[in-house]
Amino acid sequence: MNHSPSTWKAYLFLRENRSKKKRRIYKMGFQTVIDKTTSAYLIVLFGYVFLSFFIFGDILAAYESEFIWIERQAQERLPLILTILPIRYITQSFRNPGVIFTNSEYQLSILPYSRKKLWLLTALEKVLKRLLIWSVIGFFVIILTPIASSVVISYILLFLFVEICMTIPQWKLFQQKWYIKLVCLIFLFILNGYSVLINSQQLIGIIVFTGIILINIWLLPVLFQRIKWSRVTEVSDFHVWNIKWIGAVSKTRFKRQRKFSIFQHLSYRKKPFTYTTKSIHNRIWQVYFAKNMELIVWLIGALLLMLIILPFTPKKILMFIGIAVAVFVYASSVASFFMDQFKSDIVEVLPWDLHAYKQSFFKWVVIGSLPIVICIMTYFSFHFTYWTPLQLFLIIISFMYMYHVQMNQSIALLAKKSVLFVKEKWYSGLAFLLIIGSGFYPILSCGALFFIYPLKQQIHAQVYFLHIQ
Amino acid sequence: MKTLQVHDVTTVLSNKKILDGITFDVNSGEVMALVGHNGAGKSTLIKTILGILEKASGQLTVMEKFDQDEDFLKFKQQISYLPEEPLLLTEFTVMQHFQLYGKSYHIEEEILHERIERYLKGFELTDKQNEYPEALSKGMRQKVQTICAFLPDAPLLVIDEPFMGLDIYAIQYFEEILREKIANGTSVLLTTHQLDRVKNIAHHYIMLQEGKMIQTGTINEFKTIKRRREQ
Repeated sequence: MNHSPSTWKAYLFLRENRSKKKRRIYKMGFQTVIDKTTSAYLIVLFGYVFLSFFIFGDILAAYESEFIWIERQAQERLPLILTILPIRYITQSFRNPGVIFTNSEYQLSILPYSRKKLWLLTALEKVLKRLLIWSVIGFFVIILTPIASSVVISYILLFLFVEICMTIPQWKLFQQKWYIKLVCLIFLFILNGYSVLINSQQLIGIIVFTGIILINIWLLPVLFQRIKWSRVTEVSDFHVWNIKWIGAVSKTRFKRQRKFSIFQHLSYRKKPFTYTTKSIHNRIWQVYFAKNMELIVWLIGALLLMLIILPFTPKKILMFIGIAVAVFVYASSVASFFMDQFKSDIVEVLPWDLHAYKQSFFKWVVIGSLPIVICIMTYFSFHFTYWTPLQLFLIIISFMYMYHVQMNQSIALLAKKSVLFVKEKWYSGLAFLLIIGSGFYPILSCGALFFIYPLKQQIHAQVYFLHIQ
Repeated sequence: MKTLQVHDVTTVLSNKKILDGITFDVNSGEVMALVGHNGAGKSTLIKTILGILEKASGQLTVMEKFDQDEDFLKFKQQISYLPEEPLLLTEFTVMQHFQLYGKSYHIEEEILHERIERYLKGFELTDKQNEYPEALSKGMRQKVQTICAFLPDAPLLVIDEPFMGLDIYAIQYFEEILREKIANGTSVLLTTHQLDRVKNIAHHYIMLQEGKMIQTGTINEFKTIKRRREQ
């Protein structure tokens, strides 16, 4: 007599072994990082943190009125949070199927175990893990702050609802082409903007709620149709085993087994390149940005959000602080992206014409900055003074200076050149402060002129002090 | 002329010495075979030479003038690498990979196309030049990666496990091109388990065990690798 094997037991067996392996890796990682002395310091530190909870309790009591304000806002904004939260799942769908179905689960599903059940168990595990995390956070919020437990619980339930209801849409959206995801993302952004504009968050909240339910009903019967399993398993394997701190302490890098590309269906992309460095590098950057789309969307989205919110604050200076932060963060982040390109794939083992790579990269830096530039320009068009052109000039030249310094530093690191950028770091700091200061005293924008020569030096840094041809 | 000089190189990973005081030279037109068991440190040594892994100490010099620490970019320019597993980009066709190699090693377009045509014919891949790697079999992908490594006139060719995934005809053609390159002065550093195959190509060997050099000499002096438990 044939008994079909228990999918639950097989899943549990898989999870136990995965946990064991992870524990072993963590143990090895900790042993590498933490010796006896460090352990002693850590015990003292944790003791201090534990004690500070009690001290923290007193501080929190002093801010009771602020917490009451937060509580009122939290109650009023509940429908808005419902419409904002799905954005997170859609942006994640660029890189992550939501349900982590690794090659191991896939192999089990080839054996006589139900793929549907395995998927459900994986999804359930994800939801339970999230619920546990939110419950712990919620518990501490209830214990430590005067915020009403009913508000905290309603938020936990809201997060749980969205987590469950966005699992299937994220899973299905992950299988789709990038522009479909982008359309969904833009649609949700517009919907949220509209809800704020017409001040009818409850109505939009109800529409989104109904929409999510209907989408789930529509997608449930086709849950396993047109699934790119190799892509799902590849991403999931990477998600499970790419433990960043382990990579850092062991100085190894988890390499993805890439088996897909979003560009392959475009026939013109199969044509050989015009044999120029520019056209080849352009494609390399395109591919790199497509692979890191989610991170880029997060970076630009966060900076954009900050610059959209700050003009509504009563203090004008906050907007200038925001601009300075955006300039610095964007310049530093793009330089990190630049460096990361040379740490993976075939590019890692090829000779690098870093100067040419830097030149071809700039076009993409400009394209990426456009949403931020538009936002800043819009702000200044509403707050135009005679100083505005000079303030904009200061912002542009400061960005260019910080960008070139960060890029040259990355290039020096890649080329293993020991070049110290001490003076340049001070100048970058000065540029940062000048942007903020120009909000108070617009005359400080004249400081932009000071950066013209240092910027020129940075643009030609390969010749001046890096000696890289 | 010494194409590669490895002096007292030590590589440490997770506080453990993976390579310990490795020293050897590879002369112009010479083939050095790195032999040893799995985990002996062969691939780590290659990755250290390429700069993928940071060495903890020691010195690596190519062409007697390009030091890895002092002139890393020029150092890289002198080395062509053929990995054990193809590192092809999913988003680049076969021809686009060749063009990427061509530009990276500053090969003139006309010369590049001559070489591509020759190697594609030799490895029987002429009809695959506009295909993405996924459309190719594993062996074909390895052939593409081999052609990529053969395209430049780099003074040092580093090969991690030659013949891996290649069929008998491809191996013959591979050997033919390799001999031609050696005759033209290219130095080769290769790792292998199939020492019988490289005995006719290699001049010297280095045996690694647990990250240390335990034997070195001419290839004719090489006997065999003992089983791990016998050592």
